[in-house]
Amino acid sequence: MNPAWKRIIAGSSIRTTLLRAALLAVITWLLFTQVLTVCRLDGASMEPTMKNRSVRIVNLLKYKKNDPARGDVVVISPAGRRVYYLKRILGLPGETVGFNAGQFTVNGQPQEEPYLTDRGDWNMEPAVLEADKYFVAGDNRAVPIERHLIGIVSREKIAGGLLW
Amino acid sequence: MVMVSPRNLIVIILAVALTAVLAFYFIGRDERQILRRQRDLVERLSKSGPEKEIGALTRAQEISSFFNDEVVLDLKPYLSGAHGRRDLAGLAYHFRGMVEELSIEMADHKLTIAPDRRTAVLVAVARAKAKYSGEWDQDLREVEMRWAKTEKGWLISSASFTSAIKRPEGL
Repeated sequence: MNPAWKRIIAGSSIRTTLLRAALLAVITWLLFTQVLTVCRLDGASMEPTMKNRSVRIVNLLKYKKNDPARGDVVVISPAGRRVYYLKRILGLPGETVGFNAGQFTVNGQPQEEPYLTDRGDWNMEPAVLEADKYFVAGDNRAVPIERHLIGIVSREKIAGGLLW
Repeated sequence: MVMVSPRNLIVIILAVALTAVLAFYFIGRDERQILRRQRDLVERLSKSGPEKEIGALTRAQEISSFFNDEVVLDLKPYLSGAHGRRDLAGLAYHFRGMVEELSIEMADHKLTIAPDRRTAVLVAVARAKAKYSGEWDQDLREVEMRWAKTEKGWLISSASFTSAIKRPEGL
């Protein structure tokens, strides 16, 4: 009979325990490379909705079948999987988007943005979004538009959405 | 059923291992050289504290040696236009002299080598942290570097900032 400490670490059979550990490692690896990823925000672009340096979990499968909707917070992958941009979808393909003294418009119609605490005073001439192009911005409208990473992103660059 | 003697098995294993080593050496050679050059450039650009004049001049000279004789830069608001190598050494000396500390990290490398293996494009995300007058500032940019194979090895012929998020015209 195995001593108690051995049974706790290795179970009744070392072989079975090793197999279970290997299976768990593979599942964990798949989960955190193909399904989920953990990100730490670096920057104030999404404040006050999301605090700088807060930790978030991204669902990499969220837009595999469905397209992003207006108001969704998405992660945008510039080149790989270590750095992402976190932005909110404001405009959808085919729409004409613009800002007038902080008021966001789609096809000339003012849009409500309940997630904002300060609408700011951004101005942007109407821009037409081509097919597969989305208009994105952060929630921090207190930052001057010149210093805010805002603009048009291709569908293929949207890598996932926020899970939490 | 095929029987393999232990001696033949060792020969087969050695032959497979040798083929793998040679394939790794020759097939990925350009890729490894470019990525190593890029790492070396980032290391030389970085600064961990005050430098002596001669050290700063040497660093600037070394930095310029990573670039082609004529290089086109579109790194607004920091640097843009066509520059010669000597010109770049001066700019590197001046820029590094302005900051007290500078650290650069590159991530998410995507390297594409042309079929003739004479030119290559490297896209990566660069995160720079610089200390001016005791205050830290940071910037995150996507960088596209074009490389050309020369007698002196792989050299950068142009570098520009790109972005997955494109600002609408006029903004």
